[in-house]
Amino acid sequence: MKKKVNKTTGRGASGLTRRHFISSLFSLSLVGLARPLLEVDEVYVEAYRSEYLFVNGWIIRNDDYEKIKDV
Amino acid sequence: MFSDLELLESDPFKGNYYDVCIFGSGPAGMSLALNLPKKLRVLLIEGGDTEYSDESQNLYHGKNIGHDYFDLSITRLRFLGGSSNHWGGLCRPLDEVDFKSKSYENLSGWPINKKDLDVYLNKTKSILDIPDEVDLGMPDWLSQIQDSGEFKEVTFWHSEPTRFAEKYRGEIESSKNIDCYINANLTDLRLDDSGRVLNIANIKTYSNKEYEIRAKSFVLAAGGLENPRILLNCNSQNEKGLGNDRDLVGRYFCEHPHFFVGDFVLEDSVRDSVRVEMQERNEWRHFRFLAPTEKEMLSRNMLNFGIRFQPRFIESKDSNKNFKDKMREIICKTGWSKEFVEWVTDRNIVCASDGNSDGTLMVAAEQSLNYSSRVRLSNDVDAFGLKRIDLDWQLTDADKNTLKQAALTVGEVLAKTKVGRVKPRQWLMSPDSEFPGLDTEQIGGHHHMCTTRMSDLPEYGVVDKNLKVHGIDNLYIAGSSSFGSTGHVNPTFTIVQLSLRLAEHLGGLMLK
Repeated sequence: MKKKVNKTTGRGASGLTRRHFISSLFSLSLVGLARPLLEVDEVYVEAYRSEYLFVNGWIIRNDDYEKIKDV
Repeated sequence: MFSDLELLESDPFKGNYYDVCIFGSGPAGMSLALNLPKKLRVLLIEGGDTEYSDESQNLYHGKNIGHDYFDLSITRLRFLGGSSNHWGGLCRPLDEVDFKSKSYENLSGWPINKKDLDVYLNKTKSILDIPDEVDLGMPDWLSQIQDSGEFKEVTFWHSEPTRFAEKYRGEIESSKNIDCYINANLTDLRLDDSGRVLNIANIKTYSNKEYEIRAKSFVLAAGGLENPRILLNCNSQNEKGLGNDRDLVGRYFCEHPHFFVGDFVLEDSVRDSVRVEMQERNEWRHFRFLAPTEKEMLSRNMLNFGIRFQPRFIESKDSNKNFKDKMREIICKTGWSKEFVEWVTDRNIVCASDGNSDGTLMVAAEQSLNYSSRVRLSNDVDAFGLKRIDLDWQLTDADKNTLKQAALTVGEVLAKTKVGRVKPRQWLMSPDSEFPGLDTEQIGGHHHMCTTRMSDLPEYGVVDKNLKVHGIDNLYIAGSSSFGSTGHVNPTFTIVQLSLRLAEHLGGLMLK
């Protein structure tokens, strides 16, 4: 089942833009984020297999998501 | 000997009795003719001329009544050399797993195995002018993926490509045992009184001159759509047609479903590595493909496939792209207003990727054998009064599963190895979504297979393991129509291997 975990189009408390948040899903670090990967207004997380999630349709490992979801 | 039947005044077949008569001069027919023992008298019959003609090509017109498919009159060629005249040259032998039975795939498995064809590997490479393999090396990111265990890299061989008429016509002309006639159209095959032996083939030229051919053995090598059309049209003695007592001729039509299945992004270092590699060797023959390991394939109940990373950040030099493809690429890449172009052209413009990714994943998959996917005769007739075909290509949930699992497996492996990330296409993830068509996510193919499929049991196939039609003692079918199943690789290499095996079999039968 889809779960909407956030909704913002501006800067959050951390000072990161939405696209930086999503970019961090892929780079798993906040270094070298000049390349915007996704620009979204909403983040959807959907269960997939035990070790993986869909985040806005992208396949992400659970533990990777845990590392960055609170950014 | 090489001759144009249209230009002859006397009947060249009168009093002649050939050992083997072959219909069709494409890769299947020509490889067979040239590799039969020289002691055998061989007749090679081609319906077209030495060059393309509308008159001949018109005989290939037909209707698509199933899933979206290419115009049947352009997806193959009807003149000397057959479809080798527009072959792209990409090829590779089938994998060992392709010949095996799988519990989740009805009728899977061939009555022969990979070793039975491997003995013709080097000869086939020589026939198809396969150059020495290029060592692409193994970049770190690919090693990481392979080490993960789900995938192996597969290398496609690339012929220049071989145009059979251009390369082999001289050899046929100077041959002492092969007679080749062009503009000779097969209109009927007739059995003797036993009902088990073919003894006469009827031939017509475009000016309606008629001939009869007699031979010990006959071989159809006219292609995956035309072989069943011929058998079904040969109904002067049996209304079901030849070899069709069990209503299997034309059934199990398979293609290699080619679809875009997802978008990908790569980690920056991988992206740079791919960019450098592809700038150095930006030729499609050097594109890297991944295929599932046998263990992974069986664990996910999927069929075989090859998957390719198609980067957006590298300009393709693919000269086969047509104007429409190029316009689509420019519109999608530069961000031209899709809506404006769609309004002007009154067409949907569908971008291969979502605009935020590094590229798309393209899959060419094995198709599941499906009784309802078929070639059948229509009510339209051609210039010789023979019925044309309706192609009812049907894809199933099993095919969707293979494509979906391909995207998911690559997505998991890229996430696990931290090489990148994958977003599978929405139509794959929605159970109710239909397969997209040629205007959107579907590409490629032109591979017509399994319409006279090989099986040891006449209940499940039209030909046996030696390509002989069940129930007829001297009729054989060469080419991809006789594949037991399709694997994921382009079929030409296997077509030639099967013809070399048939040449050895017929030689052994006739010279013993």
